[in-house]
Amino acid sequence: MKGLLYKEWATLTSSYKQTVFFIAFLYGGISILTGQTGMAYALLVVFSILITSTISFDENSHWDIYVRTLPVTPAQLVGSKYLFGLCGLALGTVCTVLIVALNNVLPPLLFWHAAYKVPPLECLAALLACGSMALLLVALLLPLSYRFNSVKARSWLFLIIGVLGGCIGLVASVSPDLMQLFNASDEVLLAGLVAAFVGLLAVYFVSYKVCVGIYKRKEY
Amino acid sequence: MAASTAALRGITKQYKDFTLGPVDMTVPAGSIVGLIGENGAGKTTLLKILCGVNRADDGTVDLLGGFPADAATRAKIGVVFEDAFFYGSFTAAQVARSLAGMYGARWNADSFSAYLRRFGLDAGKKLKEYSRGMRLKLSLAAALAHDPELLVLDEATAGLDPVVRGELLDLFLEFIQDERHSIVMSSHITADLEQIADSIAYLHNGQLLFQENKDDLLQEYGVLHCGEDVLTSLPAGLVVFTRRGAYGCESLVRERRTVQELLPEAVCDAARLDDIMRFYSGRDAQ
Repeated sequence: MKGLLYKEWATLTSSYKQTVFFIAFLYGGISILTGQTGMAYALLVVFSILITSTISFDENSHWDIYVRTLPVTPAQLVGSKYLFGLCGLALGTVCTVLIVALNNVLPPLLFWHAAYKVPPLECLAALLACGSMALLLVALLLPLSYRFNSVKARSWLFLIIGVLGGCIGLVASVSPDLMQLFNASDEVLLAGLVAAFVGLLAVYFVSYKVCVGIYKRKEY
Repeated sequence: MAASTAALRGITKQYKDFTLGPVDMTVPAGSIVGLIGENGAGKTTLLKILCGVNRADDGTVDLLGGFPADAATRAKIGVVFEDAFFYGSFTAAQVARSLAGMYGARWNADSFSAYLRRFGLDAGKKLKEYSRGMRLKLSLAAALAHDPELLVLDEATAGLDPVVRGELLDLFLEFIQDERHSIVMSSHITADLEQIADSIAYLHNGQLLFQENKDDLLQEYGVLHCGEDVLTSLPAGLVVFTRRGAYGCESLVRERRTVQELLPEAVCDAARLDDIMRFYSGRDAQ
């Protein structure tokens, strides 16, 4: 497992080190310069889904075939990807919190509008919402990538997002009352976001189990 | 010491347009088995099943007393596939660090470094900057550094110049000096196998036509040059396949000594592995 984690780390750092720094500085810089922290939360999603792109590298170098001859189990191989997804989420969270903290300390440096100091609870709510989104994306992309391949997985993901969006739109148009849930008190909304995050952690775990099953049956 | 390092029994694998097997093949301990066959004959498919990459539809694989699906069993084999390895942005040092984490105590970092020095490979250079030969040498160093009992090589010498191929063949012969070690290698370069293999397994259209001792095989088969009328005087079963041309017939025959005794006037040269493959594939193409 240690070797697999190192392999994922080496793949990501050798391929994405500059990209990660660039995105962090770009998103962080824009957030701090303009006093708008919205972009910073996207780092959670961006850093989390980086791990899914390592599957493309595995496919291109045929590592996916080679690794089946090495002394690692399917649970370890797939598990290393899921662990790195969580590491990406943690890294994104740290970066986002730092950017928000800096935003709260520094005045807006570029534009004339007043600085908006982000309250801690609002920051937590946004982190939970974006973290849930990141977990969902990785939980969908990894099994799809192992089931089909990394390119087809993205097409499937767009399809799933389209269907989900369509369903939500349908529900909203049929039952407008349901959408009033979003107008609930802050405490209720926060509790809902915590529940959603915990639920998606469970989905993430189930996705891992499903992915191991898919990987075991996969043929090369 | 086990009598055989690996034994495949009744292995079958069905694809939409290709069927492998049933194949029975053994890799005796302390020997080199050369796997030959035309493109698409099923060599890579068979080796993938042997190494645990894919599962057979039917049949059993006994690999070093265990099963290919067992990670602990796979720790005892070293595999070099033609073009399957680490991503090109890795360095040899990173490959070593990753494999060390997977093989644990079995991994011998000193041995890996010694192979790199022997092959003249720079541990800090990215794989994508290596030539094809260098990448294969690195794959081999990675496959050998944990002292495997079985080395599985799929077209490991393909596309290499004769000097590098010679170096690798010498290495294989060194490896096999330890009687715990065995090699199974597929190759289209039959001259390499004639040089180092102890036995030859011939896979043709998904079927294993034979697995025989190489020396016996090269003694057994001959290429007979004669006229059509002479050919008909041979007992049935000796002639595998005949190519007819403007200047007579060229036939692959079994029991070369017998044929030479029966037809002392005719020329019957010892067959090479290439000849055997060429005639068998010609026979089945008809």
